[in-house]
Amino acid sequence: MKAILSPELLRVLQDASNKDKVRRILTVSSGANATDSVDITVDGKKKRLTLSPVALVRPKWAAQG
Amino acid sequence: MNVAFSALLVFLLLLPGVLFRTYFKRAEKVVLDIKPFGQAAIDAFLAALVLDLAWYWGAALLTSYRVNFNALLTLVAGDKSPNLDSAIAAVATDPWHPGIFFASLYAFAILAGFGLRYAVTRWRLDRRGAPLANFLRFDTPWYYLFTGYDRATPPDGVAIGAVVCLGSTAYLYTGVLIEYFLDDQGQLNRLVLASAARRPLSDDEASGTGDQDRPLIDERFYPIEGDYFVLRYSEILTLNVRYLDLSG
Repeated sequence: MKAILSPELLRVLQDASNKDKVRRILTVSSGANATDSVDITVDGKKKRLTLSPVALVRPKWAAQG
Repeated sequence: MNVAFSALLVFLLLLPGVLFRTYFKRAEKVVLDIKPFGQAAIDAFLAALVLDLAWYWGAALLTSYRVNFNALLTLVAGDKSPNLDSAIAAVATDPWHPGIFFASLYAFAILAGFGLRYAVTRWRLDRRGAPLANFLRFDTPWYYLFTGYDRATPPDGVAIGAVVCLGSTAYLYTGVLIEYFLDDQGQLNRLVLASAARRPLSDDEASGTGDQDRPLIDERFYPIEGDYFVLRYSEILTLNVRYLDLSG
């Protein structure tokens, strides 16, 4: 079974200084094809966390329905 | 010869297909096989046919031993006849060769199942759009959805948005998916989220959608204290999935 979270993102979630930023990106409402992103820190290095456009992730059964 | 022995022999011949299918099939969080029995039996029969023939040819190529089809069919038929007596006598005289044949065939079936599943996963042969995807795709839709399997690059995480009705108020929950569980029917049972937050959905009516409204949108959510938040799928009205990617 492949993990849902990458070890890198798991570290982001465990880092208290990133928690508010992650929560913010999750709670920002966006348009159907917009992309949201936020800068966070992983092991002291700056990285960008990006939410994929909604249109890409529709499950097959939803698309058929 | 009684019927039970014939049935046992047929079972021995079909067992490689059952073993192959069992070890090839990828299960989700719980062991599931929701395929109808008829479909599962046909799959196992076809796999057994291929494996039996492959092992027969392999044995013929590598050893001087030959499968005695005449004796085999006589044993399967089980009718009283001199041929049956001689077939039983042949097996009784030399039980090792048939025994080794079947034992090695079962081991091969298990290894082939594991090996093919590894190859399918390693090279993502079941990814939507791959040439053999329709044939090799597993019956694990939640796995494909929550791992972003069909994307060009696997995501670093999955963000969930779910609408849940509490009393007469609909709430929008959001968070990062940590784990999911299925019930014994293969339906999603519960989702485990981190960094969870929620807000009443009715707040949407009073807000706009432009960038200038983002601070207000943030404030409408309030964080849920705790490391993990469990959402029961039976209480979810709609589910939105978005993938998280780390770059830079």
